[in-house]
Amino acid sequence: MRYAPFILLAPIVMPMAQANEYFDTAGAQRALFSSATAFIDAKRSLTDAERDKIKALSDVKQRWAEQPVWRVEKNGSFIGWYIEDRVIGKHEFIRYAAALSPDGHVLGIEIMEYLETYGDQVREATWRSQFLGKTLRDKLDLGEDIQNISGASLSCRNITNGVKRLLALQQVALLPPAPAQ
Amino acid sequence: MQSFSRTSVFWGTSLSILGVFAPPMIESAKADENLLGYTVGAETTPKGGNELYLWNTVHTGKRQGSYRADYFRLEYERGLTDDLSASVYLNGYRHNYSGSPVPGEIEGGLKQTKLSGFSVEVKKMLLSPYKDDLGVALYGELTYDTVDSITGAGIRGWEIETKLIFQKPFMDGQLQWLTNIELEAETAKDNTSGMVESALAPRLRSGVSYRFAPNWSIGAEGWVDMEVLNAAADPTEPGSGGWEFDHWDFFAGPSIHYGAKDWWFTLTWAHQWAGSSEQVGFNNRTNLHLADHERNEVRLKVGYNF
Repeated sequence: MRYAPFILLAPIVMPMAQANEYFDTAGAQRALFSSATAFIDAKRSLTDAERDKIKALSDVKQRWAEQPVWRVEKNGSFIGWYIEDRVIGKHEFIRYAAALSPDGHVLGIEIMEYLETYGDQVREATWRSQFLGKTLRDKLDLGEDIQNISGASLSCRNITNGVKRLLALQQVALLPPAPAQ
Repeated sequence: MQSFSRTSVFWGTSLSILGVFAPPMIESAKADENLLGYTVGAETTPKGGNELYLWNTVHTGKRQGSYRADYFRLEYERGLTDDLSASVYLNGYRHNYSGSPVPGEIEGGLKQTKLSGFSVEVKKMLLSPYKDDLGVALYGELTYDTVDSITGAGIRGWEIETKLIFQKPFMDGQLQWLTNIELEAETAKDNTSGMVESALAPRLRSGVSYRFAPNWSIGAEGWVDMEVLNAAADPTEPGSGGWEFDHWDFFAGPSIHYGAKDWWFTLTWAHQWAGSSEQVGFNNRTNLHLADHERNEVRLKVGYNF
């Protein structure tokens, strides 16, 4: 095979290594719960039945059996859940974190890692703020409740579905701590 | 028939153009992707997005002798709106064959590389595969060629290709099903004989692509096409010929795709598994059509955005 012309182009098209990790766990936690005083590791192992129930509630498949979760406290009081998740992008996984209130409202999301060609706008506050206050009762439809970003429709759809799934996961598998005696 | 000629500077021209654009690409290149080599998806380049593609398709294997034809394309695409994109292409061919590969149709031998012509294309996305679940797009391409793609002979030819494109994602987009319904109309006049030949070629392509690891997808695609030919305009035989069925063929094969933020490539091998005889009464023991097509095609596409 004479693919020499293409091979000659390789140095031109090979991309420069780029770091696209915008938040580590500690950074995302601070961004989403700025007043928190403690993040308590509450990683959740999900049973098949729980995963089925999450799918039934959200209409989105729970791919992972283990979900990284932190219980968030402020001066000893429970103020919400911090959940890290990943969804499929066009090329790679998109890592993001969601902050959920104890009663199941979205307090915010942050994009931790985004490696896609188009759609960097998902990191902008205006796009992320569309999720504020959403609950499992909201439809969270892309193009209606959540604005689509041209060229990044798959990313937008999967992040939107991911948040919907985390709201279902909270309802199915995250119990608030018992009140202090 | 598939056809169409100029000087052997295709790669020189292509690489010069790339040379002009290369520095900014290194800074800000991004990537779009064709998951399969032949069957295309419904998405368009978003407004303001620019993409550059290089194609090479290697065709090998005729009835006898030795045959190889490389089809080169350099494509520039720009998103005009969020659901409408347009492209321009430079097309060229390299032929290297000997031993009369198809007696009566491709005689003798030839070794040449020529820039052949250009194409313009528009693509309109009607439904998004991710917003609307089923992606639907319309595609139109107009090509002017001066080299016959099969024989390398000099011609003057025009071709219009239209596609109705469907794309259905499954498993959050990890698995994609793509289907194209295509109709091609072409006409070409041979520079030597003055013969005009026209053809209509409907085609159905379909394939799937599955992302098995971050950035990497494997796929399989196949297509059936047929051609109706009109060779009526032989100036030496007025009134001769007319529209008639010429051939059909079936190709299928695997592909592998790598897509990163800044660039992508897709490598596809397609084999002709069945086809009709190229001549009436010919004993087609291979059950392949080897006049207008070959036994094997290997296509490499490299793309990047800026």
